[in-house]
Amino acid sequence: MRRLVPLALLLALVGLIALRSWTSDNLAPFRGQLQDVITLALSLLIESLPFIVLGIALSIVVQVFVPPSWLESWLPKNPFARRAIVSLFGMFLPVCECGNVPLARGLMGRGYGVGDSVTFLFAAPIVNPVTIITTHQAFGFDDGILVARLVAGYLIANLLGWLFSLHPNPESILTTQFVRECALPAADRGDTKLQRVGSLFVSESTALMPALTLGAFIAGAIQVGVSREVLLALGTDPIVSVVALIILAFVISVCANVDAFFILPFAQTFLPGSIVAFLVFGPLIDIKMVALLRTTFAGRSIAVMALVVGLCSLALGMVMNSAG
Amino acid sequence: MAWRGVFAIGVLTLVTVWLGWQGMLGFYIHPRYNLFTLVMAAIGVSLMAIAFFVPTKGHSHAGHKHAKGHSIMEWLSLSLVAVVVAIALVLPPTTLSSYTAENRSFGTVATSPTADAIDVESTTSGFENLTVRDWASLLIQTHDPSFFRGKPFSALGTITDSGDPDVFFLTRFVVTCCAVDAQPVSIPVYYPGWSDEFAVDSWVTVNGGFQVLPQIAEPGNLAVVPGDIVEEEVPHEPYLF
Repeated sequence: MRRLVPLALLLALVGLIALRSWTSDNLAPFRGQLQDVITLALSLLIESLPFIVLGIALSIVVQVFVPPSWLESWLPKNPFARRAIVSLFGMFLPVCECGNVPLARGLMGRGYGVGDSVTFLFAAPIVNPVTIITTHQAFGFDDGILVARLVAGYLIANLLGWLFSLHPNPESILTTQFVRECALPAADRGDTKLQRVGSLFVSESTALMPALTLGAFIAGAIQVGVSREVLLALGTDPIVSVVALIILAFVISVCANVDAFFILPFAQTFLPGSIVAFLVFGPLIDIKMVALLRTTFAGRSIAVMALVVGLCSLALGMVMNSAG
Repeated sequence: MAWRGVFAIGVLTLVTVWLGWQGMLGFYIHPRYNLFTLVMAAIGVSLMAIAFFVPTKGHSHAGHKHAKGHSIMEWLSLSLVAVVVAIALVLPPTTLSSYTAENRSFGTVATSPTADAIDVESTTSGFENLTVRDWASLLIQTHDPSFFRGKPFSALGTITDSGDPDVFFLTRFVVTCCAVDAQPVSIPVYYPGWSDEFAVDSWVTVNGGFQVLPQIAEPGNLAVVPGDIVEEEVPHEPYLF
């Protein structure tokens, strides 16, 4: 019976390809708002897919192939120093924020503390060579936007890590499902490394893909449904414009690696502090990320994360706008 | 139920590879990501093959309930994945429409998000090869009619309603990463009664030249007056990069 599985899979694959080709040639495309929601959602999914696969692959490498003590052995014992170093992991892992979620899950599955993993998760999208280069290409060193983004991203990630490390019961920060997965002995996933790779791939993709899909469709629908004219009419007020761009960052869910290019055309409409608030808030909290974070963190924890990141971004934007 | 994520990744990978094969990944993402996307899709397929063909310990995946007692959330997420799979497999790939072009045309300084915007000072030839984005960039820089006089205009784009029965916008989206960040750029085209002849969102090449037309409200009263308008198929790279 087992020998028939590859044949059945091959037939299913051929059938799916035939279906995709036939409908593409024979169904007429429809136009309008619903089509744009679908195009935007598929765009987000196709753009995120390689990063999700990369994140899951790195997570599997960390959990299956890296010796348990290796990662911990060269990190400082002092928690502040350790988080300061952990928040620089993103320099060596140029993965966008979607890919960092499975990797952070892998770190926690490997025994990393919640605080340390949160620090990595929130620093990596900003303290990341691709993000730094694209932000520099877009803004150079004008108005301190690049420096403010990097410093703020680093500090906010460490602040969040510190806050979550204070929690007396770290497991309550996480979902019960994820705590159960972390508690599972490695042997339960398989006797061989290859078995554990397969098992982890199944559980990680099943945890992340429905959430990513939901986030992509909500982001697409809100992008089409919410008029940009309303949001951007607020551009010149030093406080309201910061709020407007934070909301825009939440809604559009654009990848941290290229969000600087996205916001560049708005730079003559909005003040620099508002632009920085967009560039700091967006990579850390947006619709797509909230859906992905929900696979791992309890709802209350995500609310705290959003509140801290939001208040810090707001304060930073207002201070920069006032100073400028 | 525990395989729904693998199923979702599998179908998305299949659709991605099919789009790449058909040359239509450009409907959704910037071409610079094509290779990376396809390489990661191959890695995804390899991981799927391991998950399928390497026998696990009774498929005892962490925390998953078996045989009975699936939660409402599990059914919901399975339904969601099924809907997305159906959409990805059945609906023909399409580009963003004029609805989004109109929604996103506010607040930007238009034209180019990168530093390579075309410069009015240095552009002295090759006007017939300029894109809608290049012309929009020139229009931002100058409204001097003498600059545009006699320059041949030939550009591809979609038709967007301007609200004026005599004028439509020839529009392209400029993309830096994927369709999510697409920003529209437009050139006004003076063609009375255009809506009787062309549908909104249809792809056309407009050949003609700029003229000053006092009756139109565009900056500098400049608009393209077409010599001819040719209907086109959707290009494989519908966005400008």
